[in-house]
Amino acid sequence: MREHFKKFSRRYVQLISAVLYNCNVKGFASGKIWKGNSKGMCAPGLNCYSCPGAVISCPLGSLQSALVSSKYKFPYYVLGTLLLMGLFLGRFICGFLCPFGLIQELLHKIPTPKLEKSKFTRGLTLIKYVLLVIFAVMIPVFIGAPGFCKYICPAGTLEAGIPLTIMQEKLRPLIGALFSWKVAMLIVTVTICVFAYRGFCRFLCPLGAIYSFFQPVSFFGVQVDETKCIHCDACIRNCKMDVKKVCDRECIQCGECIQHCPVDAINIGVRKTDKKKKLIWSVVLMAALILIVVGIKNKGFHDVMSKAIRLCYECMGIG
Amino acid sequence: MSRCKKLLAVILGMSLCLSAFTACADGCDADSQNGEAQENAEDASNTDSVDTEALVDDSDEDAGVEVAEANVAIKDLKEGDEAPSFTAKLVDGTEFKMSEHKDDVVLLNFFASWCGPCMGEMPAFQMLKDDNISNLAILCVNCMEDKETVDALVKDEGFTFPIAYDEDGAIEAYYPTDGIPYTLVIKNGVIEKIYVGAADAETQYKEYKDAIDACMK
Repeated sequence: MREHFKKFSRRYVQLISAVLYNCNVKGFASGKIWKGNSKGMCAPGLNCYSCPGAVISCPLGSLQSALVSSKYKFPYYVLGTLLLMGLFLGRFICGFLCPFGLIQELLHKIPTPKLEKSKFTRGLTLIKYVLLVIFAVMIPVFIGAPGFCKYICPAGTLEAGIPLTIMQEKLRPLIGALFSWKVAMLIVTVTICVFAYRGFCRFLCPLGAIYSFFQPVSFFGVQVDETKCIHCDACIRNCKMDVKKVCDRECIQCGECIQHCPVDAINIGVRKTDKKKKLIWSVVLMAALILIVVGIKNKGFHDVMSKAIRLCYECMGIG
Repeated sequence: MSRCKKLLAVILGMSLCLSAFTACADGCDADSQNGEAQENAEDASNTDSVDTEALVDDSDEDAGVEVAEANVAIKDLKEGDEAPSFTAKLVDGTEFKMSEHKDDVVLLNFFASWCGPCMGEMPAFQMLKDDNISNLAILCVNCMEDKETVDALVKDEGFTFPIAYDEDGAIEAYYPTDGIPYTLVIKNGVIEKIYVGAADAETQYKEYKDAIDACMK
């Protein structure tokens, strides 16, 4: 039993996170979304806040909504929250705390020929940075629409669009070309994830792109003891992500490399850092806390909540 | 690894506590945001079943929103239902009283600055306002954004049709909806047509104009 838990501990953490984010069981039964104050908080992982079960907000959805109205109010609170979560956990969030990551891993278990990682797939990982800049930042700021949610996000279609249009008859007349497009995007994403391990996460997820910037300085995560490392690259060869070295921008800190290291040089936990990194970490932490405090004083929590307690028709692909 | 497990336990414990705390703080009621206004409405309907006086929430006076004249229990509205009464403070400093528009056609819309489809259809209301249709009252209620944001939006966009503040969601509580934009066409105090979502301004103008013309006949 203990061995079983040790082997599948990450899966349990992923499962618990998914349940915690979506514990409004009543919502799944009634087709109504949660309207409580908890939606003022952003979850670390990607989880559509229009999902009937969601009791907490999607950080990427909140960021885009905040950027849509940024000419009237700067999104201090959302930016501060993202900064804080990234600083503490980096892409550990992708590996352990993202419900959509769990879905992708389960899809990859379907027995089919699998796409191996290569220079080509490493190149494809840059797409998520392009999507972050264009769809999650520029379209919301300059066009006034949550670009990623509206045109791409498969989580919104899977967790909100499809279940809510099935359960709420009044939403069905809103279904149009955009909904068909979003369903097509979901099918493409599911197909990618069946053949490529965490395909969406590796190539398309702007939230993963945001957290990847914090990889060098994140407080918690995987690290290599350079005094023990024999540079055999067993960790890189056995990793299913497009990493060039442990804990680079593509590493989701799942810790699976630990068992493949012949000299036990990799561990997961609070990282030991040098003075320079500690200084950067302290400055970013201060900036994050200041942004959050200013944001809360500026009613940022209330703003995130007031957006997330309403169905985002655009996120669902019916706006 | 034991250190790692301890940290994981702390992270999970914290998130569990946070979720449990915030969830239970809301009384596990999905409509908790509407609770206060709902109570007001129910109190009002209990104390005066025919016609009630304005219920003014003192704490909201500064916010510029008053919950008023509630004689209808809160419920999901459908076409044919009586439109709940309320009084709203407008951006231009005046008041809008639903009860004063019993003989008019009222076009009531709920919107927010962060809502793309809402902002996309706003020119439709401006076009209807510019049409100067007699016996038509237009009111766009902003959903829970602060006064400064609404003022900046109105100034920036140059809207001249009536726009109301609803910082605490008190008006919206009488017109519960899962999402916005949400628009109602009301004739003689009865809801004639409900629109959920919106297309572009031109399409919405035509939709609303046709509905208003049908009500005017």
